[in-house]
Amino acid sequence: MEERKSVMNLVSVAVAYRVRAGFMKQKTVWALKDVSFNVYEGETLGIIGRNGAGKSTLLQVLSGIITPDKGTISTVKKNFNPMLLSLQTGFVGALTGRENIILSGLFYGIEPQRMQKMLDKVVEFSGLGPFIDQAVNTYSTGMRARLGFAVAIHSDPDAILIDEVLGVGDIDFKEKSTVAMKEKISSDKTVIIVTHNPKTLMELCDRVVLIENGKSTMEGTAEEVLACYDTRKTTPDCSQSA
Amino acid sequence: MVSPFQIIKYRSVAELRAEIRRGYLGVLWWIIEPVLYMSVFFVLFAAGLRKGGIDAVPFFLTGLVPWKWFATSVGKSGNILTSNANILKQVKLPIYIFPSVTIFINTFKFLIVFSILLLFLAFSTDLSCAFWWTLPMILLVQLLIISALVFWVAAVVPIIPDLQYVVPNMLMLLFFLSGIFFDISAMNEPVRTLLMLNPMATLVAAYRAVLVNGTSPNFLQLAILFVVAVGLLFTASIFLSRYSHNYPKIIR
Repeated sequence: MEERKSVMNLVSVAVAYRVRAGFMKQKTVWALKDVSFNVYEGETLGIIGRNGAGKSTLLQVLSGIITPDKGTISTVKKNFNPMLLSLQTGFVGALTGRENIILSGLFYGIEPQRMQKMLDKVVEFSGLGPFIDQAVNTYSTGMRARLGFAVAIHSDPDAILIDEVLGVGDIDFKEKSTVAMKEKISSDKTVIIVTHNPKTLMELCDRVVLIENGKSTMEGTAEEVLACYDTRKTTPDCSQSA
Repeated sequence: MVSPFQIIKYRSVAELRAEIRRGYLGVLWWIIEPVLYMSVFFVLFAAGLRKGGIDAVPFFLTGLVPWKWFATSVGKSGNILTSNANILKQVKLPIYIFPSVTIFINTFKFLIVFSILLLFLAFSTDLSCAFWWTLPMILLVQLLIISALVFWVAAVVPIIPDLQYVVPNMLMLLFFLSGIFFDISAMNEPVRTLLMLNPMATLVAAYRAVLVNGTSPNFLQLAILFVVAVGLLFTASIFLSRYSHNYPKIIR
């Protein structure tokens, strides 16, 4: 890695959940046990791990929604807010697609006045045509995903967190959304992609962090880490290279 | 950046709008529903099932209408964070946004009903309006009490989910103890003082003083309530912000 400014720094981050374990009993489950890595300005960082490795929890830590129970996460400037681009954040079913664009935009930090100005662009991107003026609860799952994606892709946070899916909807929209997402990724924005799919990362990421069992076990170029991830399957024998 | 108040405003309007679109009668339900609710009790009196007959209706409604504002707000508040789980698990937001939306919506709907009540009183009884200027004060104290309780219930129920079974029963108890059916000032000591510890009893008495009897409300009681409410609201806000990073973890 060349000399780059680190914008985010995780040191031994651990996160515990308390779950009920029978009558009046609780037990603690550590979803993340020991995760450390840096995020550099402008890079596209991939985080890979199998189901249950702690990826979703890590996303919440990175976006500042939850704070670690142990370890620290520090950002280069105050209120540096990586934002999770997710689908269908807080839609109100009885309202129209258009109204929901404004509402959903609020959560991405887009003022209503500004959203009003880009409304036509978002509507066009969604490709929902006349459905945009119908209630969202009449939409199909794919249509909701289109609407959610159209809003998310027009937001402009400090850094972007992406969970799994790049393309959503049917073939046409999938292509369009993948292209739009890749455009975002290849811009000089800081992007963090969390997935269990090595193909996506190989294509897009400068650097990859491997998460296993709540621990960051390896960090390196996409080729290095993914080669290990592929061959490893369930036998963790190259963890010393972390 | 979007301010939290902007979010509260837009979410509240959105949910009110959604409510209108859900039924065929839309906005009319904000009037019909409370009128239906009040009619149930009206019938009870008219049929002579309760003492006082029709004459007791103004007395009764001035207690019931503010009570309903209180009960619908607090009654739903244990659910607030859970029903917004998908938002607060994905976006970093001040948690107080969600209970604030509930308070805003219920207050808006209450003000409609309260206006109807004032009209009803103005036409049905020859009351004096001498102390109506104190109404904003009483309304403000009640708003603060409601906010404090909504914040506390919304904050605590997700942590101890078992309390969701307690809240409705506590509300029912308070309902019977708030002097909606009877006049607390006619009770003997020490029962009277004990009952007046219930904030809604104080408020109901204040509304009645102003709207039914045309007399001054008890300012000292209102002042005490104001201080208590502000204190509770303040501590609830601190609790919510201290605990805010835990809610996305405990809410399923």
